[in-house]
Amino acid sequence: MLLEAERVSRSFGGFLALSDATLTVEAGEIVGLIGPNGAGKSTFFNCVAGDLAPSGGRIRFNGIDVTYAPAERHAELGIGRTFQVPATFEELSILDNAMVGAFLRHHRRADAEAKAMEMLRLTGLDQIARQRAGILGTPGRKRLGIARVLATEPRLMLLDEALAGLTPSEIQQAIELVRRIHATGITIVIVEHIMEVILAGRARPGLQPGPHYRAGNTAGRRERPKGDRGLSRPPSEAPAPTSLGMTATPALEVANLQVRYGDLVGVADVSLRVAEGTVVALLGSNGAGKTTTLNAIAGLVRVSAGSIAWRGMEIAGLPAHAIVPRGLALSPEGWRLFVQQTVEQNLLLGATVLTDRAQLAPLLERAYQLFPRLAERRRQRAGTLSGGERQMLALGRALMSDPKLLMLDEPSLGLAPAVVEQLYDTLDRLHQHGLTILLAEQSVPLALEIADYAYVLQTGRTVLEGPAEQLERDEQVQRIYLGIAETAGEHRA
Amino acid sequence: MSRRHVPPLALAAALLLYPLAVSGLNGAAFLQDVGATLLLAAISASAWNIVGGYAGQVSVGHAMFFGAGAYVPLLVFDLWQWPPLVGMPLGIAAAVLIALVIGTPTFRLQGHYFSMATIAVAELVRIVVSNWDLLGASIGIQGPATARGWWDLTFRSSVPYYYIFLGVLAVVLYATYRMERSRFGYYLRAIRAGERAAASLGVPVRRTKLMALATSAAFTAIAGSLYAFKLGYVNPEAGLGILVSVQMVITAALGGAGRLVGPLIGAIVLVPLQSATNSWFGGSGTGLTYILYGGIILLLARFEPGGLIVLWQRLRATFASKPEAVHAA
Repeated sequence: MLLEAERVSRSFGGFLALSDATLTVEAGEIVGLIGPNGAGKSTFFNCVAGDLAPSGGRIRFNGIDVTYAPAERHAELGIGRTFQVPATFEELSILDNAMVGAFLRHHRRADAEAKAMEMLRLTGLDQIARQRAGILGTPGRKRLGIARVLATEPRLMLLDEALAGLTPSEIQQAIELVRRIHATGITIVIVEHIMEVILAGRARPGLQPGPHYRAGNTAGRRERPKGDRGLSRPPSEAPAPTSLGMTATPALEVANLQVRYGDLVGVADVSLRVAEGTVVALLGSNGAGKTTTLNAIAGLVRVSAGSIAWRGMEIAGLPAHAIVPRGLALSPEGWRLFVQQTVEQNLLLGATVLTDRAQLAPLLERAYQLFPRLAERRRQRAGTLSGGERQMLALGRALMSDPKLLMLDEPSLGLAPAVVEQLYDTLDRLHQHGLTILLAEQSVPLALEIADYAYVLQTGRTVLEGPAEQLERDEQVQRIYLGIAETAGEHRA
Repeated sequence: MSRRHVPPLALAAALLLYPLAVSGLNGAAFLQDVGATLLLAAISASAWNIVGGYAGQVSVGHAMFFGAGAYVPLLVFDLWQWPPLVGMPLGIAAAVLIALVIGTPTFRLQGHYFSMATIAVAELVRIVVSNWDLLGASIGIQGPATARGWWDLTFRSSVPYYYIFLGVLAVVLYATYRMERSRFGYYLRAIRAGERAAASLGVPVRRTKLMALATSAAFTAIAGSLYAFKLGYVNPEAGLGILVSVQMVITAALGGAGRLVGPLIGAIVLVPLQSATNSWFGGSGTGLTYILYGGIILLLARFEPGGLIVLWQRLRATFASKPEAVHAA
């Protein structure tokens, strides 16, 4: 057994990112790690690579206990890893990037250079070896990341989303490269959101870490009919699904949105419409562009091309502080609370755009009514809250600007199922009261349960859209685009 | 000899001939003294460059290593009348020891926090020394007033110092050149470019940083010792003051941090400028020095963080591409 990870757990503060993940990999295998965001893939990956020390469990590589060994020790033993964002040494030449890796086993400069060149040839970068690595685009950087690791002569390669952000033809080349590397006898563990890759690559789906969204949890919820959630929606108010976001005049209309971070394309081409009073879900794997889309609407990242119209007014290019007063609020991924401030101060900071101070008290009252837990902890510092309470606070803070459109980025991420249930009930209630909601969510069953209409993003593009019920029924859609828990669960190691 | 060897060789020749070239001029002694000061600044900035430039760990506390190199030789003279030269290795050892002791905790910090921690430690050292009678407290300590022999390295003219400094600078630059091309040099640049990625490739980040700091401290201590030989005395402000640290940072950054000749280029521009402003406006002018440094930081931050070398490369690239553009049109 080359790699044995046994009941690996990792928590951050009160937030359990990974619990009891077990994975064994034999020499010569290719193993894919799949599962929705929040399942703990990245955390597990970083534990195996030595970037994070697990809070519990054991990791053995080739019989050696590496649970608490530092990253450089992992490299020395033969565990190489790439990064999701390639972490290129931009100022160094392409050759020098690879040489840093090669120096691990070759202390003489000439030997290291020869080894580095060999790996650059394998990855097709040898012709531009003397150029600065900063000139490379995303595909080049991913290749260089792989070349750099290969130069350390690993026995096991951990590939973290080696394909995210690549175009279909680049993906084909990259898959080819991964196969070539595997053919040289290197064992590969790959985290990949593009499901076709793993399914077509005959890789063995390795683990489904974390208990959060096992099939059992979500299946039960999905069987419940829509609207049957305590606070049921009056049938007359429920708009017909077919008209949603299609024919009704949309409150928000995003057309051909493009966002670039330097050479990296965050969003290539996203179009979507959100009708007044509806809940629209933005689905897709990690790296598909959901967060970037929301950030672009909120004015947090610069829009490179395309338009964003809010109630008929163009808001693309406006700074965030000019967008919030127009009635759009974002509850960001990872909450971004002011951890040194109290719960109440956090809420008040959400209301800074209000011009009328008289509104403050009723809004605060509403937030505490929605989340009685926050009222209990109003004087407590936000940094001391649990994950679920933090999500409540982030949501409460967003609501303090009295928005007409509430945007939520992965609200269920890292939360216990019971807390998620509670949170979605709250969202449902807000929806009943007429709030328009745009929701980015990787937990597909959850999102489709509450949403009226959904868009599926893949590598920065809207690839599919439709009424939530329709997407919910489409098995193929779920399996290929959304990579829901069931797919991985069948193959659980 | 290819064309790219011309500028460095011309620079080396100019530095070799400088004291002779100015010897006939009015105020030759002053000009020669400025030359020696320039070389000393280039040595200490080159020493700083190892950890601050190549490894990207911007220490603003290198005065403590400089001070160790300056104080120890004068201390051994003060206590036992040994030639200061004998104290130099002891000063280097003291600096390396300090580096290892303070590096371990401060390297737990990153970026600005590391810089601020180094300022704090260096200031602490300065304050302790200012109140330590053995080290002359705030007055400082003195070296031999007149030379008992050549080994006391006490000369009236600046010219012998100039050539000693030039020799040491050559050694420092050669060592840096070798380092640049070695595994250690690659590891330093990898750390500067991204610690997490570096560690994932097997770079022992903490140990490498510590070695860089120790090496840098050793060379900085040599600069401190040379300073003490030339001036013949040292006090807490001149040996351990924050301006000593800042000068190293500014000199290296002005020329180009993380570049072999960056600190030397920086010194060639900065030191004459400093001497000129000081002599025009009188006094040692630390106030004016602060203004000068502030202005340089502002210009670097605004226009070219890479320093003069990068600016030069960019200009050359612009002019080199012009004829082609005409061709295309």
